[in-house]
This record gives sequence, structure tokens and C-alpha cells, in this order.
Amino acid sequence: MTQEALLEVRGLATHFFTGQGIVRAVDGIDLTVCRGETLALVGESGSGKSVASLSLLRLVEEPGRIVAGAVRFAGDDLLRLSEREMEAVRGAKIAMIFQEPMTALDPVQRVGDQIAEGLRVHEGLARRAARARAVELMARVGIPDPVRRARAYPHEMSGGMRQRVMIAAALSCDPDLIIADEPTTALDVTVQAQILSLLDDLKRESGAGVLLITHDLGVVAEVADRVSVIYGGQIVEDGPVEQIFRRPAHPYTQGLIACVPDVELPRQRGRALQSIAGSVPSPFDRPDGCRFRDRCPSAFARCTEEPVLVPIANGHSARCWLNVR
Amino acid sequence: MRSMTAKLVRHAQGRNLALVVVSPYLALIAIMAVLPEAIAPYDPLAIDASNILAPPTSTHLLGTDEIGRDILSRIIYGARVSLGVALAAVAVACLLGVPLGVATSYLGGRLENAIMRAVDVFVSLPEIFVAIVVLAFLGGDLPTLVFTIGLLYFPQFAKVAHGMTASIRSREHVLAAVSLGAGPVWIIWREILPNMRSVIIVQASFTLSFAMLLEAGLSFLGLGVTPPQPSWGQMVGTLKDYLFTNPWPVVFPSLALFLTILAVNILGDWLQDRLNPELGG
Repeated sequence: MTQEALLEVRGLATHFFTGQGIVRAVDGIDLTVCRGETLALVGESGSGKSVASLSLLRLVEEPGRIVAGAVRFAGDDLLRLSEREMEAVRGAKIAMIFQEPMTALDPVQRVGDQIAEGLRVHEGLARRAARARAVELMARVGIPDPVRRARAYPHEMSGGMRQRVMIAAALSCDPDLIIADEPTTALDVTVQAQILSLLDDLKRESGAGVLLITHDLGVVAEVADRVSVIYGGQIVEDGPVEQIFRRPAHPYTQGLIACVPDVELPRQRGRALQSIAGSVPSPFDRPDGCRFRDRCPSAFARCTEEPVLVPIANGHSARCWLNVR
Repeated sequence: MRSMTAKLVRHAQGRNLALVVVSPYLALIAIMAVLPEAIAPYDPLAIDASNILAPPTSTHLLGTDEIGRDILSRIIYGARVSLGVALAAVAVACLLGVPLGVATSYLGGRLENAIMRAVDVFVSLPEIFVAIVVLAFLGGDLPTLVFTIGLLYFPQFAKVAHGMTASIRSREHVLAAVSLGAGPVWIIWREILPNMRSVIIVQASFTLSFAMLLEAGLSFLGLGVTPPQPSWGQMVGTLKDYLFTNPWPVVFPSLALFLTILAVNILGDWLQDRLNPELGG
């Protein structure tokens, strides 16, 4: 695999300045996505993963603001571009796939026109030419009868087809990086697998990098090359997917993996479902030191000190004192 | 599931039934407004001195007014004023209100607040009194009438457009369009305006009936079109003096006004269902 970094995020911090105080939703994260590679950003709801992904395209809305960091992409720091320059990046160089294809598609526009939107914005294609391209894209993402389907409205399609429409729209301008925010969460399990393999095929064909945001470790195991685990706005563990699953170094990652129900052992159903005790701490009063220590089964005295991300093995690091001997 | 589909189908037929009844009537009114000379039996200003305040007869189907003019012909010619003034006023209101509402939502901050509070003040003005004052100072020619009525109804459009813009902007499909590289102008044209279209059209249809009523009221009071040009409200205004000798001349223009407003409202309802692709299509 080529190791040419496509996207390098360094120290990205996005805070929300609310009436009740400052929410540090994303608090200094580093991410690297290489060409042709899928990086999974894994975390529970409230961990900051969606805000992080929106921050990359500078789509965070008030009262949220990106307060620090750099997003290096194709030689530029995206955080320093003008809004106009940023518009030229969105869709053309970096495209995004959203979680809920029902709400992410315009209910009053035909899906063909929505797929063509990026082409019309970036390449100035006329309506007719853009529609023809939309039909090609629909065929490419496996929508049967694309000529007729291009004239349909989103509500006339199934969830899986709508997600294919979203993917076609994201692919329309051949982006170098695709950010997929929980692309399969709203879909049936069988459809999930189809969409994931579609994404994987498309990535392979185009050589684009994929940043996959998910809470589902099953999805991660299936398609990711590398994994970054986010907790409380920080990356707590980072490494190649095999390392993460075989030798998870952070108790939070270990907990997440233990939580995945094992379908192959129905006899043992008597055994209680695993879960991580407690919930993500309110961003208004996170514990000082390690943010996971309240829920951590192995917490010890040193956890009141803020841990740092330390390398464990080649390309694998974790933010936990247990790994510092 | 099946019975629900059947219900929906019946519902749709009921809706279209209303349209089937209403559209020939509105087409007739439109022809009256555009080509009155083609269907009116008499010149609306022609005086038949032998028939003054006549009840409906075979020569004057709807009777005559106080100086012997044919009521039917005057109603036909009056459609142009009643419908034309109202339509133009709604166009003025819509073209002022919608851009203001959308732009204000984009401005944000204090300016947004200031403008929308000013709009609220406009909404709370008693329209007929404001219209009387404006027309008294500026005189009652047609453009002034149109502009006055338009100005009185633009705040409703501004408020609706402002609220819709705020709600549509926060929807995920707008975020998705931004993530595809669309700028604000594109977003307004392709996402925000199409998504508020059905609401604005319904607003316009109701405003059209209000505007017709207001025009009729002002003409009734003698502030609308200048006689002898007929309008429905003005006819009622002049003929009300003879209500007790002969009620017919008042009844017919009132009926024309009533039926037209009813038809416009039914059309508005139908459009509302029809324009929402999730319901009709």
C-alpha cells in the first residue's frame, strides 16, 4: 500500500460556545488518511466523531468554532482557505456521505438532479449534460433502471437505494477523499453489507481515501485498514485494524470489542451482554486526568494525570498509563 | 395498508373533484377579466333609460343599476379590476416579502431582529385604515391601489419566508449540498426557494382572497377605482342605497365576489396538496 498521506489532521480542536459554558467536542485530534486507504474513526455517540468530520470541511455551525489545529490536504491547510476556496474543495476534492439518506436528500428535488448538483456547481455542466452524467453515476453505484430512477423523488426509493444516491452524489466529481459519516447505520443489516462492499469497490477503482465514521466495530472489521478510536474528543487509540482487534491497548477499545455480541455462540445466550459501565461523561464536567477513568475497570492512581498518546508497536499507539512501564 | 391506500385514492379524487368544479368557474372569471368585450352583452357604461333598477329580465339578465346600466356587463368588466388589482398586489407583496424574509434570515444578528420586529409592526397595522389614509393622500389611481394593498400584505410573506428559510437551512440536505460545494446563492435558489414554494403558493392564494376583499372594501368606500369604471366592491357600494327598493343589483356583484374568493381558496388548498411531492406528485 502506498503511504502517501492524503489528509493530515493535527491538533484539531472544535469547541461549542454555549450559554452553559464551553463544550470541547473535539479537543486536539490527529488523523492521517492515506491514498487508497480506509481510516475508521470509531466512537460512541457524543464522542465528538461527527463534529470532527464536519470540522474537516468546515461545516460546523454556530455556536461551534474550530479553535485550533491544521487540516492539511493537497498541500493546503484547509483551515486557512477563504470560504470561496473552501467551496471549491467541498464536493470536488473531499465529498461527504451522510448517515440518514432520507433527511440528507432534498425531498422536492428529483434524485438525478441532486446527484448532478456537484457537477453543475464545480464543472458548470448544463442541466441536460449533468443529468446524463447522473444516470451514469447511478448505474455505477448499482441502481437498476437508472434512466427512470433519476426522475424519482427520494421518498419513492428504499433506504438502500437512497444511500446509493448519496454515494453517487458524493462520487460525482471524483473526490480524492470521501468522508462517510455512519453511512450504514440507518440501513438494514443485509443492505449495510451491500453498501459497505460498494464503498470498498468504489474506493479501489478510484484510489480515493476514505474516512469512515462509525460506532459499529463490525463495520470497522469489514472495511477499515486503520482505526482511530475517539473518546471525549480525544484520540485514545490508533493503529492498524488487526492490531486493534488482536491487541487492543486501551481499556476503552477493549470494552468496545467485548461489547460486540457474538452471533456464532447462541448456546451461551445465558451469558449477560457485555457493556461498558456508565456513559460518556458530560462535556461540561469531564474528569481531569484520563477522561475514561470513571468507567475504566483498570483505573489506578496515576489516571488522575492526563495521559499522552504513546507508541506501543509499529503504527500503533494508545493514550493509557497501563502501556507506560 | 390496502384500506389506507384506498382512502388516499378516495381523498385524491375528492380533492380533484373540487378542482373540477372550481376551475371552469375561475377560467370564466379569467376570461371576463381578460376579454370582457367578447362576452359582455352590453357596453358597461351604456345607459338604458327605460330600465332603471330593473330586476332580472330577459333583456338584462341580472337587472340594471340606478342609471340603467346592465349589471351583468358591469360584473364582467369589473372582474378585471377585482382580479387584476388583487393579483398585482399579491405579486408586489410576494416579490417584496420573500426576498426580504430570505435575506433577513441570512443576515442574522441584530439587523435580523430589527427588520423582523419592523415587519411585525406592519402586520399589526389595521389594514383598511392604513389603506384609507394612504389613498386619501396619494389619490386612488390603480397603481397606487395595487401598491398600497401589496405593501399591506408583504409582511406575511416576509414572515413566512423568514421562518421557512431558518428551518430549511438547518436541514441536513442543505448541509449535504454545502458539503458538495454549493455556495449561498446556489443554496437559496436550489434548496431553500424550491422547498418553500408550496407554502408561498398557498400563502399567495389566501392573500389573493384577502386582497380581493380589501380592494372591494376600498372600492365600496369610494377609494378604489374611479367611476364610471366598474369594480365589484364599488358596485355594491353605490347600489347599497337602493337595497330596500331593489336588492338584486347588490346581490349579484356580492355573489361574484364571494364565489371567486371561495374558488381561489379551494384552488389554494388543492395546490398545497398537489405541490407536495410526498403527498401527491
